[in-house]
Amino acid sequence: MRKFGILVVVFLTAATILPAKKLTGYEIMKTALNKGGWKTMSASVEMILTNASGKMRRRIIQMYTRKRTENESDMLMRFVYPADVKGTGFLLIERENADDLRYLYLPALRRIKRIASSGKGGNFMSSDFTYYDIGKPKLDDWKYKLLGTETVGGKACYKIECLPASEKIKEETGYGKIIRWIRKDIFLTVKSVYYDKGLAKWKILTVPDYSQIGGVWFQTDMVLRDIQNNHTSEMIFSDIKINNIIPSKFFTKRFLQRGVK
Amino acid sequence: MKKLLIFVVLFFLAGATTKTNAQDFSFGGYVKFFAHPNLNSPYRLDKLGTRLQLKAQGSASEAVDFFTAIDFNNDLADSLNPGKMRIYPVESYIDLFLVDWLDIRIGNQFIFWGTTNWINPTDNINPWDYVNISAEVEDYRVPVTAAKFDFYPSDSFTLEFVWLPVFQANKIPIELPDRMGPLAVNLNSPELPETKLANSQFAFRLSSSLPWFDYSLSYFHGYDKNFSLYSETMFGQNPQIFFTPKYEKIDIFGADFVTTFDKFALQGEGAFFKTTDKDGKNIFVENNHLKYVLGADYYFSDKVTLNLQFIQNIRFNYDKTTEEKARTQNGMPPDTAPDKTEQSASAMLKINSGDFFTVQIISVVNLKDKDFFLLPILNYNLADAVNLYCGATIFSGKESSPFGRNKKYSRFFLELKYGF
Repeated sequence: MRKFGILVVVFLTAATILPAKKLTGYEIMKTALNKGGWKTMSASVEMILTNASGKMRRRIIQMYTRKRTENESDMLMRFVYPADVKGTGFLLIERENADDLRYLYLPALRRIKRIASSGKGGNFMSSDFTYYDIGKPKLDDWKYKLLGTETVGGKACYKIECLPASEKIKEETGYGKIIRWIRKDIFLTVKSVYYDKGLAKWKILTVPDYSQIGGVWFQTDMVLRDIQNNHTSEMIFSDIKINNIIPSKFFTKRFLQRGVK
Repeated sequence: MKKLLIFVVLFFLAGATTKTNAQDFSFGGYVKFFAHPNLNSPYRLDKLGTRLQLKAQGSASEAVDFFTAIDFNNDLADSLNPGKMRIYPVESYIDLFLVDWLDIRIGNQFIFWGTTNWINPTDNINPWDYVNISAEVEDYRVPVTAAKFDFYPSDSFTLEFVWLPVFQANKIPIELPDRMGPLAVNLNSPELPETKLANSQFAFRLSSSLPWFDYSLSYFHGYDKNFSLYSETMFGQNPQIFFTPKYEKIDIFGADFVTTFDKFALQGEGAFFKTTDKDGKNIFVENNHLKYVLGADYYFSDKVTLNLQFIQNIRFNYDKTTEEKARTQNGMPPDTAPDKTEQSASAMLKINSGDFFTVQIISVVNLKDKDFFLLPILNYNLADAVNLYCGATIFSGKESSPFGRNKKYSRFFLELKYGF
């Protein structure tokens, strides 16, 4: 099974100044994906879910993540708001040659439950983001084509078409096509449009805010609108720390239940 | 009582509003309204009232955490204390993280073991409150006073040791007829193990996460939380039979595993119960037996999960005909003798609909008598941390069957809960 990447880096990455030659779609994506200059990261994530009738739900999650190997990451998350889900924890351990391990800690039941992987296309914490969306996609999962340049939010962007490299990727992600707009100056994805397997427009990602932390560009506010179900998820990152010391033991069932101090 | 109540509330309020010496302190809890009408005529209210739970937790230092949750329960339908506020700790414990390879928790706590759903042969530390089944674990499981030591020799192995100085029994109603034939029936007080160090209970569990599956091996030494109902018949002018609930020693050897592949999670859990009736001749005590559960979760999607399980209980050194004869000789109804093997099945379906609705249906059916227990729960999230729960605990089946004889406890429940 393909490995799950690290939160946030998905759509984003570091700024790089490239030689002034005409880049291909593949080269642009390679630059964008390979500039995550960090090994560990912790952040507070506010998630706002809005349904078709405008009703909103707010969640705040404390998350810790690390790159264990080139293609394997670990992630530990814990809900801190609202009170009825506070303490709920989620541990994800990526494995390159096997299904990822997923553990859920439910404080109401005082139990850790090993849960099946619902696939990369599964929804992340009941949001419109999938596990694939929030992970770092592997470059070779997709075939790229540079469609041209367009301006998004007043910034010049490359417009890239991404098509699944195989039927497996298409099935796993649920996406038949993704169009990405990547800022030319910092190689950060600032907009994406996702199409379903039948190539109907499905979700639109916008990035109202991003910032540079420790030399790495992060999308600190992402809004994903599911236009088929008229549902929106917003993820706002704060208190981002990179390359801070997060011991490997944190990414175990012990700390899933106990919490990280 | 009033002074105690004021003190406790002031303590929590003080904690919420003032700075303490603790490095970290948080305060929370919930308020809940509940109504549980019985589903049998005349549909009396089994429970009706409100509850305030106050929780406080924090760190006194890097090495010391504490947690306490106290319930203030006002149940107008409580037949023992109608309309009286009951104040009791749900959990109160201290965590010690003195060295890197050891976590210690001391106090009133929940310790649940096992990997299967709802029925866990290795889950033998916290008693059940069988007449209080509802949406919340805290209502139907009883916290125990214990010291728990978790050793971590590596990131993938854990050795747990639990010491339980005091025995606490399952809460099971004992209901007997006034007469059994010519015999007047009397029920004596339960004989509980004396509270002394020599009667301490303890348990071990070794658990590990291997690349392909998680497993654990466990052992419990203590007392059976279900009573053995001894009878003694006295003949004479007024023949009588006396029943005495007693709690027998027991050793339980358990194991469990869980593994996942694709959209499946497979779980298995079993335990051998070594009772005091080694040769199966004591009709009052459960024979040695093996109970196991095999099950699977299937994740249709992130919103729909189905769990199916098969449960079997096998008694050793047991012959039903002999048991029935022995029961008759002791003035007990022979039809209470169980089968040598018993099979059950359970199912749990969970559906999350949108951001606001969750439906969960849990059922257990005994395959021989087709008696069953059904627990449907509908949860509607009214706002952040505000939930409406409604559902029912339904027991059904022949009067002589395990679930059938609990029909009178079938009830509907409606709860409105706000967490803070």
